[in-house]
Amino acid sequence: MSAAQRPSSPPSERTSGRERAFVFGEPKQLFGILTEPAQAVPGRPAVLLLNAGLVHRVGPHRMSVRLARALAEAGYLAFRFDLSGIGDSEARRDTLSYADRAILDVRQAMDHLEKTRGITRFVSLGLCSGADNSYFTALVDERIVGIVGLDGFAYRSPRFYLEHYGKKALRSASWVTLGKTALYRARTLRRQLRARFGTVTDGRLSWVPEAPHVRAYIREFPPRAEYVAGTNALVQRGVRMLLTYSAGMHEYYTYDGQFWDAFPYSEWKRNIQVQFYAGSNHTFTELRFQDALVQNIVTWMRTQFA
Amino acid sequence: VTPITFGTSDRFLAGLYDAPASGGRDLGVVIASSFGQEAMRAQRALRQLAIELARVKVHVFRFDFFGTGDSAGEGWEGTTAEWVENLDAASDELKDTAGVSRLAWVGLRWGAVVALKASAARADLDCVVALDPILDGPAYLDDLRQLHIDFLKNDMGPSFRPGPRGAHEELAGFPLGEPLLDEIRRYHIEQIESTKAKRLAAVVSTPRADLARLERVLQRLDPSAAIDAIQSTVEWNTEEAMTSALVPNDVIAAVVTRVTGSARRPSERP
Repeated sequence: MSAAQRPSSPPSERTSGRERAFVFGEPKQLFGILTEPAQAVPGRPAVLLLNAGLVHRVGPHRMSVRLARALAEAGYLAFRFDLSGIGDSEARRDTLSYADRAILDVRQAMDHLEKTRGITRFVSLGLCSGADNSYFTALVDERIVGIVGLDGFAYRSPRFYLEHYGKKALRSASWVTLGKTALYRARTLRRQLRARFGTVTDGRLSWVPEAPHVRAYIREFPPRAEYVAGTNALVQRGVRMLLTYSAGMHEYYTYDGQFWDAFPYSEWKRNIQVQFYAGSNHTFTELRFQDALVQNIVTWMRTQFA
Repeated sequence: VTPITFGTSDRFLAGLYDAPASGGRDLGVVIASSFGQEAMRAQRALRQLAIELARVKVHVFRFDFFGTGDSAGEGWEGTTAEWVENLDAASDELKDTAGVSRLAWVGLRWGAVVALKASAARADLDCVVALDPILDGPAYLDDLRQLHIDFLKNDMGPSFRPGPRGAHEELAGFPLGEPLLDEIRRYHIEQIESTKAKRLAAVVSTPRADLARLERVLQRLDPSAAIDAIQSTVEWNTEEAMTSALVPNDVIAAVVTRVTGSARRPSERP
């Protein structure tokens, strides 16, 4: 396509039909891609798709791209963007913690869409750290009216311990599995150590320093009482939540219904829907689970924010 | 960074242009990534490569092939033939945008295969740098299939068995269409018969047994072709690389040197 045929767009933006990429934030350092529905429905919230860990805006297995396009197809504006220091967003040169920085970034995304599109209601969607950041941002910003948390914070119930430890101990094969798992974990740890510390050369371990201004995210679940208080506040505010858990979270979540065993609060059931993907790993690697997840999120959005 | 979209509206391609900080050279570099899990793992390293190239006054354009990354299309729709056209279109886009007359390509893994194939028809190419190129298609498919199994077993335990195959073969979370699978099955690097690039180079980031084979092919195409075999301190093509902010600076430095030709080094053997 020649320059003359290209649609004109500002130098920091690119457009293609219903997708628009641009740099935003204050200072301008965050990078995002807006996917617009063919026909916007006034009053509907926009969906923010947050990074999972350090994976850039396309999401694990490019799932954020699929989700954004499926949501736009269903009539929702979707915005997938990189938090500062991830993907193509610049790192912030400040002293904020990772958690505070993520909240600031998400709020700046909302500020931008409010200013440029007049959108004041948002659903924040994310996997793992993306779920955590959605939760923490929702606690401090009332523009978030919905959360889709994939493998977010999980809390054990008595049955979890039976499922996790009891059944395993009764199966003789589980001891073989345990051995194999330990071997896998050891290999993983060795690869992680090599990535962090480099390789042994001439009998010396070479140290690879952390990149400047990129702080590591160490996942910590809030204490149960804190989580209950936070979720209570969100429920009272009317925030709708779709919380999904995968079998990849087997250290924390092992069976369908664990969430409600851990939190048997009837008043939460009005706002919270929980789904369990019994055969899926943490990042939904298998396409059958990706397909199901995309479909279920779109369905949930349609029922909650028609 | 400046986002640029090119191609047709239903098959649009997403690109990112990094301008040199000041007074650029008459040289534009197009970076062609791979597909699937490799493209995900390489994002941070290729961004850093773009930054480093821009720092030495080169115009840089990264883009996603059709069906990958931010570009249009489903993963199973990608084919090498279309990706060759995509690389050609990206090169024209960079020349239009930056006003450069000289081009260089950096291709990663299957992106290197695309670049080498496309280089047979492009006369304005200064050089092609193949970064960890694929030499043997069937062996590459075996590696990707093993990665798929390892990926799941690492998460779910060694007893895990993947579900039944759907409409497309899936490799570590990405669907591959039959045309691309067939191209990979039939590919070996000796098929590349000619290039119009003035220089060829390869950068290899981990030790590999088939380095002599790569060298033979490249030097048949360009007698002065060079290979940098590096034992990188950071393995970009690992799951751990996705959870770390580290990038393989040694590999990036070697690519920058090869692209700019500022410090041509003799071919290195492991």
